[in-house]
Amino acid sequence: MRPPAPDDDVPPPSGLAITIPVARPRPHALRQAAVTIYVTLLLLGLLIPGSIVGALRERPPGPVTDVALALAEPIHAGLERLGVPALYGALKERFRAVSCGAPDSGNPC
Amino acid sequence: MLFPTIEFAVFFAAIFPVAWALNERNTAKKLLLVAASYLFYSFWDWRFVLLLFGSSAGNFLIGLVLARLDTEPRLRRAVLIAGVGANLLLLCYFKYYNFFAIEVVNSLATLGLRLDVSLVEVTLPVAISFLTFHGISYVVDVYRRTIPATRSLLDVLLYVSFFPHLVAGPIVRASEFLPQAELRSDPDEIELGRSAMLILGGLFKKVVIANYIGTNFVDGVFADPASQTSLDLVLASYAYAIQIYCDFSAYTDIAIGVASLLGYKFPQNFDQPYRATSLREFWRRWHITLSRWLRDYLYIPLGGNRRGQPRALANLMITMVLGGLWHGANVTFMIWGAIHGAALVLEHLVAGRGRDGSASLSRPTSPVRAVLGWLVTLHVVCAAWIFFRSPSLEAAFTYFARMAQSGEWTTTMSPFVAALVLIGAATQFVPPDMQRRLGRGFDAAPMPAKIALCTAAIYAIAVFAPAGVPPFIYFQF
Repeated sequence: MRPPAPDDDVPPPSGLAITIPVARPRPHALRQAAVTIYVTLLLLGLLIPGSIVGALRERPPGPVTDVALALAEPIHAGLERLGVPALYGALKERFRAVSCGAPDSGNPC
Repeated sequence: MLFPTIEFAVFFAAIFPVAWALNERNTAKKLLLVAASYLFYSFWDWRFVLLLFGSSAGNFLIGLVLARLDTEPRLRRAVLIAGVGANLLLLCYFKYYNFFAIEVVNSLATLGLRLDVSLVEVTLPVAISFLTFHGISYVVDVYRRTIPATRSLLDVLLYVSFFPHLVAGPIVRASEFLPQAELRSDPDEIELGRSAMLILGGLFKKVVIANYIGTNFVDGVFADPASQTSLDLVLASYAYAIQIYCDFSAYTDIAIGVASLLGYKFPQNFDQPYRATSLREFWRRWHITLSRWLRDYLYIPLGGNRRGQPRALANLMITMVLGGLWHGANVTFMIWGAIHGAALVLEHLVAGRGRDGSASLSRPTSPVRAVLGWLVTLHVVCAAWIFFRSPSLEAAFTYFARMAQSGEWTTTMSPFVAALVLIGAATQFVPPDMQRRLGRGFDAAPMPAKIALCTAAIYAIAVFAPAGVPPFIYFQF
């Protein structure tokens, strides 16, 4: 007598369809990850200056928020003088025009 | 706290160095991650932190009892049933109490019976389904002796609450996570390239593709299907298929990437599902961790295919309907599951069985059959999505009726949204290993290039982003 057919809809529990990959060791991987993450975040904080100040202003007031705002606002003001937020705003506006079409196009952007 | 927000970036930036600084002391690292996960969860509703702890601690105790009763099979089984039942009770109370109470009252009313059932205002805790899945996975894996019951409450707390997967998966098995939690992570095994590709790709899929398609087209069509043209209704069903894929796969991609940066490996959750040429293949590519959870903890315990074909097909149907119901207390989700169940049953019957008695599952050999199979699968999936997305059964039927009757073939879909739908569709047909190759390229690049790429990509995504980030679709489940 033939044994019961294996359950073919799904692989057996022990032989997962998914294998969790085993990473190849990369020397200094942690240092590389840390530098990439923090420098990227710093650059983004500078290039999109309103983001940090805006997020802080939306938070409920408190000592931590106040200190963070006191640090962030002068940097934000300095970047504004350099025109960094203006570039971001202009790019966003240009993209909005492309994605939404003309103001009377009826697209609810 | 959503992944694509500044709050999460700050949260992760604070956790990352401390977690790795504590890596030599694994217990301290896990304590930090549990505290961080509870903080992450408390951003939604701090009261449910107690629920999270209670659920995890309860499952930990059940595991210990199961280990104690190693030579008492009947008692073990009783404890298993009690444990799984307790998990399901929690889920049912929060998610289905009012739904079933209303259904029972309405059913009895049609028979002329009047029943007073008090409805309670239940606030649905975020991630309750995923907590339940992880809890059941732990209890059942211990019962099946796939893993030994852990003596560390901390490990179970971390397994259930670990913030990358806490809210919307992927559903990580206890047997996959707990062995990782026991060991110190190796900092040299951080896959920066792969993580970066998953996170950047996930941000693009969620913030740009899913959000634009949703807010600028799909939401409007589904909100009032009765006043849409046939073409808009057809296009919205395809667009929603892309939106939900981009939304959900984005969450799990980011979760996998974030967990990997902290030294933990999660299983893959999506594998280009819309290129499937059969429903069976679709379920091997869509929400893979849910598919295998349903298989291992529902379909197989129901008997799987061990009791003949009629019973196997019935089990398949039950599994899919319950899988649908898991998504929410609404008949539309059950119908969505039933459509998938019926299509899978039909495939089984049509495919027949091979010489060895197993259903023939191999991919179609002829290109014509492959294309036909792909077309049929895609359209069954898209039709089922209409039930899934519609707020009520009536709205879904209106959607289909209007699609057939309107006869108007004009569209309000903008070229930009159409382009995003096409980009989303194109992600299904790029080489499957492209992400891994890009990750390897990223790893090989010098540090300034890595930073420039990440900065430019996130800056561009921020430029493209519509105002505000709606929650991920799967948060409601």
